[in-house]
Amino acid sequence: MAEKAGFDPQVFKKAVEEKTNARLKMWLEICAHCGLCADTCHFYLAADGDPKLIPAVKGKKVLEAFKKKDKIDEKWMEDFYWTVYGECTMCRRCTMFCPFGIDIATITSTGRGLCVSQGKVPKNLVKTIESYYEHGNQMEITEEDWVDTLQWMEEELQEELPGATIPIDKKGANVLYTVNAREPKFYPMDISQAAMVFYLAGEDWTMSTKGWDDTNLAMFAGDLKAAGYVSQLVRDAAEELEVKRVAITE
Amino acid sequence: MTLFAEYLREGRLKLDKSVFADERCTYQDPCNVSRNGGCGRDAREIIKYLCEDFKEMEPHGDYNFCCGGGGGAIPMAGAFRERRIRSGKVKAEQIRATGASICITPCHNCYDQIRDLNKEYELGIKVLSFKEMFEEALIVPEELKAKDEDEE
Amino acid sequence: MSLYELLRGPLLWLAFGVFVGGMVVRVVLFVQLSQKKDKPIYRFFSWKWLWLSILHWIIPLNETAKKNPIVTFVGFVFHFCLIVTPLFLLAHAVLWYESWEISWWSLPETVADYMTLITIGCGLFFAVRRVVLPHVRIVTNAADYILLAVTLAPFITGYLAYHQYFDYQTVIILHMFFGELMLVVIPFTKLSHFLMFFFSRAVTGMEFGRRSAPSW
Repeated sequence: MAEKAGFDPQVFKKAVEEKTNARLKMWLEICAHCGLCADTCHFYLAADGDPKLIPAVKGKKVLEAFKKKDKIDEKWMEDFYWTVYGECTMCRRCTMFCPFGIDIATITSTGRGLCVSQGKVPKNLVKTIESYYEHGNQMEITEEDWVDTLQWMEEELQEELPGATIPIDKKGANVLYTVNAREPKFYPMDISQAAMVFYLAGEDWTMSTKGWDDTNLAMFAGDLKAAGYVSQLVRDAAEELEVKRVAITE
Repeated sequence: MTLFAEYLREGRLKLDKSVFADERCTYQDPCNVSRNGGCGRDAREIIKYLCEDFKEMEPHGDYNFCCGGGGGAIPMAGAFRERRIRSGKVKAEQIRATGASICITPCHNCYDQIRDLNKEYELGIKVLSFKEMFEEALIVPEELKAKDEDEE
Repeated sequence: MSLYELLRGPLLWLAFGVFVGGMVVRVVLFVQLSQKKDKPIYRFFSWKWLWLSILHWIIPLNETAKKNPIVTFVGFVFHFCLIVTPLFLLAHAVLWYESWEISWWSLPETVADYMTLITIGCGLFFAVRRVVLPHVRIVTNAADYILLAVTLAPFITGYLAYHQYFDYQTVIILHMFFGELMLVVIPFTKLSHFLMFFFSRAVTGMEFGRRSAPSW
């Protein structure tokens, strides 16, 4: 699954040093190993109580990365990769039940960041990150296709509600509506449904030709540089169109 | 979603509650919308305008379980799919326990995941977003409707 | 200088010094590093969520307490006795008075005696829990047992000394040694949670609070 093979200990060490922050250090040091997080995790419960899946174990693996940063090898990395991407959805439920409030989601995200430093990221997430950079959305939708989709949805909608429109790049609108790129790709009706709601509510709204994808899979991938870029896209769109609020799709 | 709740509160939108009167609804709190986004209350408010028979999952709200599709798990696909479906067992059992026929969720990850769970665990439910329900339940003033009532 | 005098004098100073100094360094390092690398803490700083988060966990007012009433109860009693017993023990008060002529309220001796037993009992409960429950065993390493032993040792030897079991001179020397050992290891181990707890709760309380979710 991994993009590149091989393991670069130098890069790994540097990534660890870069990612060390005060909260993370504190959390990894004070975890009392009490196990109260166990039955808060859906991975653990779904596996009928497999102790390997409790949140604290995942935290412990990240701790290992920090403590033994000189002794990490490719085999360790492979196991680590499956843990941080495949055994935690960063839902933050365990944190609510941890007496110390240790944020496993942040720890997992850091772990994913370490994988990013080795180019070990699930192929499909890499694809979305590349797409964000190239097209500004996760689904490789070109601006032309996007505008086509919006116009198509507008026509569909007008068959029922002749007065309804899908405004594009309207400056100074009250609301900028952003969507998940899965919508134009797989569920285009979502857009016309939203347009119907806005129309009936009499909202002054618009959609943007740029920065319209409100998902941020780069954040989930653990690639914080890309994540910052993606959220900036929406911000820029909002600023350029001088809208008052940004609405996010369901 | 906060906007939708606002529209309903202000009376800018009117919903016909009878549309889903025969269905029992439940609501999946997406982690990044409820716990990490603080929109759980807005969702409950919308539901009040939408469903007659609403049953919460236990636990719910800020204490909900992740559906298993979060954190980028849906688009990872490939070999991660099996883990995703397995970890969704908790959510599937939760939904089954409510006896609901509709599971509402305002998150595309949850939406896709619960649709998969519906198939894998044979829950026999409909998974709907608020928008989809609105499309059916919104009361459209006569003057705004198209003159020519073509059935699509 | 006898071993007793050594432990009563310079080594006690050393232990207190390492304990206090170590914890001060821990806090200073945390604040320094966090200012550089944990900007969200300061951007979303909120006294309200800080206190709510700490209070809900210092008094067991949280979902975990409801879900795990036994562990919560034992844990609460354990920590209470662990801190209160040595601070308000009559025998310790006498030592403070001897050295500094300062004194404060002390526990009745029988109460302190029972509290010592309770502390040891709770500690054993945690030890058993570590061995028996698979999801606790998996995150347990040797250090967890050693630290539990180091924490309980002053209580066990203190109990023996009070009742004058075995040779008093030996027992009291061991008692002082273990007490000082515990103080020394605190800043370097997970035992530092006695102070870092407040920092961790604060940052998480604020992080959840800004998303209007409780962290308890």
